[in-house]
Amino acid sequence: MKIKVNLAPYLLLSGAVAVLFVLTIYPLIFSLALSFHKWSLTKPGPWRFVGLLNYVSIATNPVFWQIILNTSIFTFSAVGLQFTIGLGLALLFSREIRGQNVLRSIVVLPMMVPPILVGLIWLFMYKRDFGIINYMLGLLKIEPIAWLSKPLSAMPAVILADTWQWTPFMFLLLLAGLRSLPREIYESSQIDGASSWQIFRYVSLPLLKPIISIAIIIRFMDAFRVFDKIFQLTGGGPGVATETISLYIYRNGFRYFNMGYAAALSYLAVIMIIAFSMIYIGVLRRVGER
Amino acid sequence: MRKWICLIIVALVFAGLGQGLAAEKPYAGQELKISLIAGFTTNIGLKTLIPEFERETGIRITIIETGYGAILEKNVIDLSAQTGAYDVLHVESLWFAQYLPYLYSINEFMEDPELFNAAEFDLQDLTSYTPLTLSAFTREEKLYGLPHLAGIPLNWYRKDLLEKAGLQPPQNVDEYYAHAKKLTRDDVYGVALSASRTGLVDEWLSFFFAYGGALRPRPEAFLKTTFNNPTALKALDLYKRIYDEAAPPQSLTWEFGEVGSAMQRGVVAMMWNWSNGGSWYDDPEVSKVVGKVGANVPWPGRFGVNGLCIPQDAPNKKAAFEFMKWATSKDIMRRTTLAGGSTPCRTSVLTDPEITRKNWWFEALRESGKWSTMYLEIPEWSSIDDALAIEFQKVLTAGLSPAKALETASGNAYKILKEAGYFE
Repeated sequence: MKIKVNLAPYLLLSGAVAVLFVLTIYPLIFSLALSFHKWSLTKPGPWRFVGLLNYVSIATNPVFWQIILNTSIFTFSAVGLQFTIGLGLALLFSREIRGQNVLRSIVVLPMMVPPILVGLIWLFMYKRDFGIINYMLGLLKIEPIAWLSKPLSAMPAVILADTWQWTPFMFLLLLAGLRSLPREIYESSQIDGASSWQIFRYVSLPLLKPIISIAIIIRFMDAFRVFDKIFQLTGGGPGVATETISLYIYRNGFRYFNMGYAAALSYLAVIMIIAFSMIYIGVLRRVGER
Repeated sequence: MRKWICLIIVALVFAGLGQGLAAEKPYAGQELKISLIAGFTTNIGLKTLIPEFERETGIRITIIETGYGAILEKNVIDLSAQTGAYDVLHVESLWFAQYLPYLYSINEFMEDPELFNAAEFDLQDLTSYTPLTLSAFTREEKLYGLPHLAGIPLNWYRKDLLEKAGLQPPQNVDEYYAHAKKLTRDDVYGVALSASRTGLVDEWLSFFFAYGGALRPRPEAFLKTTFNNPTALKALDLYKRIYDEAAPPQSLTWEFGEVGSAMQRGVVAMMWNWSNGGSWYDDPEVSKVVGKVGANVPWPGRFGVNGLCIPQDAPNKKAAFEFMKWATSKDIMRRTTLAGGSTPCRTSVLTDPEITRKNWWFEALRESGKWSTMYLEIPEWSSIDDALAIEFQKVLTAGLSPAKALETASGNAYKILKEAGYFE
C-alpha cells in the first residue's frame, strides 16, 4: 500500500527553520560550547577546554555578585515605577478627557527615542555645571548635585532615565487592557454601590491580570538586559555602582576579549531571566487559583 | 610601408610612456581603506592632505573614522573575522598588544630600498625625541607600525591665577596639591581630575611614578605587591586628598575631553592632561582663557604614541605601506601640524620655529619626551587598568580605605596575570 506524504508544508517551513537555525539555534549552541572553553580574540591559538572553570570563576568573583545586585535593584525599581506610573496614566486616559489624542501622543513620545539618545539627553540634563536639573534646583536655592558621580544618586538617576523612556510602553499596554474590559461589569458594580477604589481593586485589577503579567514580564526581560543608557550615562560607574550584567558581559567580551568568560556570563544571565519568569508565572498561577 | 613604420614607432613611444607612468604610479587604481580614531587633530590635518596623496599615487583613499571608545572592539572583531576590511589601522600603543596577532610586520618593506628610502624618511628624527616612538610598535625585533602622532600629559595651569596667588608652576606632585588647595576659591577649583573609570589609573600612575614608583618590566615579574606598596599608597592618598579638597566632584565622570573643557571654561586653575588638546585653550571660539594658559612637566607621564599599522588580511599591503610612509614623513607631519595637529612625534617638527611659535607648549612636550614612560604592552592591560579603577573609585566615593583598595586591586591584577598564564 503506498503512503502519500505531503511534503509541501515541510518545504514551505524549511526556509524559516533554516533562518531560525542560523540566527538563533546555531549561535546558542556555539556560545554554550564556548562557555566551557578559554578563548581570547587577542591571543592566537585554538579554544582551550576548561570545563566549568569559567562558571566557577564567575561565581567566586565578588564583582559579579555586586553586578547581580545592581541589575536586580535597577530592574525591580524601574519596572515597579514604570508599572505604577503607567497604570496611573492608563486609568486617567481610560476616561474621556479633552485633547486626549494629543496628550496621548505626547506621553508616548519618549518611547520613540533610541535608548542611546535617551542616555545622551539625560547625560546633559544631569551635568552638574550646566544641566537643566541642577539649574531648576538652583532656582529653588538648592546646591547643584553631581548626580552621576555619587553611588547613592547614580543608580536612581539611571532608573529615572529608563522610567522616562519606558513608562509609555506600560501605559499603552494597560490602557489597551482597560479599554478592552466589558463596560457591563463596571455598570453593574456602580449599580451595586461600589466605590471607585473598590471597582479598581476588585474589578479592574483582577481583569487586567493577564495584561499586567505580560507587560511586567516583557519589561522585566528588557530592563534586565539594559545596556545603552548605562553605557552612555555612567559607563557602569562610579566604581561598579551602576554596572549591570549586560555592561559586564560587554566589558569582558569586547574590552578584555575573554570570549569564553563572556559566553558563560551570558548563559548565566539567560538562566536568571528564565528562572525569574518561571517563578513569576508560578506565583501568578497560584494567586489566580486562590 | 613608411606609413606602417611610423605607426609602429608611435605605438612604441606610447607603450614606453605608459610603462613610465605605471612605474611612477605602481599602485594606481588601488583603493585603501584607512581606519582612523576620530577627533585627533593630527588626523583632521591629515585628511586635508589626502587629495594630494591620491593625485601623486593614483591610489584612492577611503577614511573610516570611529570614536576612541568604540574603535578597539570594532576593529578587533573585523580583524578576527579576516574580512580584509582595512588596509591601514590607526593603533593606540596602549592597545598594540591586543592588535598584535592581526598585524603584519613591515620589516620586509623597510629593508627594500625600492620601497623605503631610510635617509629620506630619517628614523633618527623619530627616535631622537624618544626611542619609544619605534619600540612601542616593535616585538622580537619586528616592526609593526610607523608612529604618526604622540601625546604626553603635561601640567597645564592658569598663568594669571598662579601669578595672582604669588605661586610658581608646581615642580612636583606635593606642590601640585598645595597649589591646588590654595587656588580653590570662589567658583574656581584648584585642579580638574580625569577620575572616570577609563582615565583614573593613567592619572594615578603618573603620581605613582612621580613618587619614584615603577612597574615591573615584564608581566612574569609582577608580584601581589606591585600595586600594593608604600609608594602606591602615597600616590592614592594624594589622589584622594586632591579629589576631596581641590577638584570638582563631577571629575569622577571626566575624561580628557571634559577636563580640557573645564580649563576652557575657566573653572579650574590646573590640570594634568594630554598635550593633544593644546590648541583648544587658545581658540577664541571655544575658550574663555585665551593666552592665559601655560604648561610644564613636573613629573613623568605616559607616552601616548599612536601608529599606523597594516593588518595581515589587508588586500593591498605595499600600497598601504606607501600611505604609511607618506603620512609619517617629515614633510607631511610638519604640514599636518601646521594645519592644526598638536601631537607630532618628530624632533624636527617639535623644534620647527614656525610651528613652535604657534604651539608654545611644544617646549614642554619636547622635555617630557625625555622621561615619559610606557606601561606593559600586554593584552591584559585593559583588564588590569579596570581592576584598579574599580577599587580606586570606591576610595573616592564609597569611603573605602586606600590601603584596602590597593590590597584588593593589586590582588586582582595579579589574579588576571595568573589566569593569563604568565606565572606558569
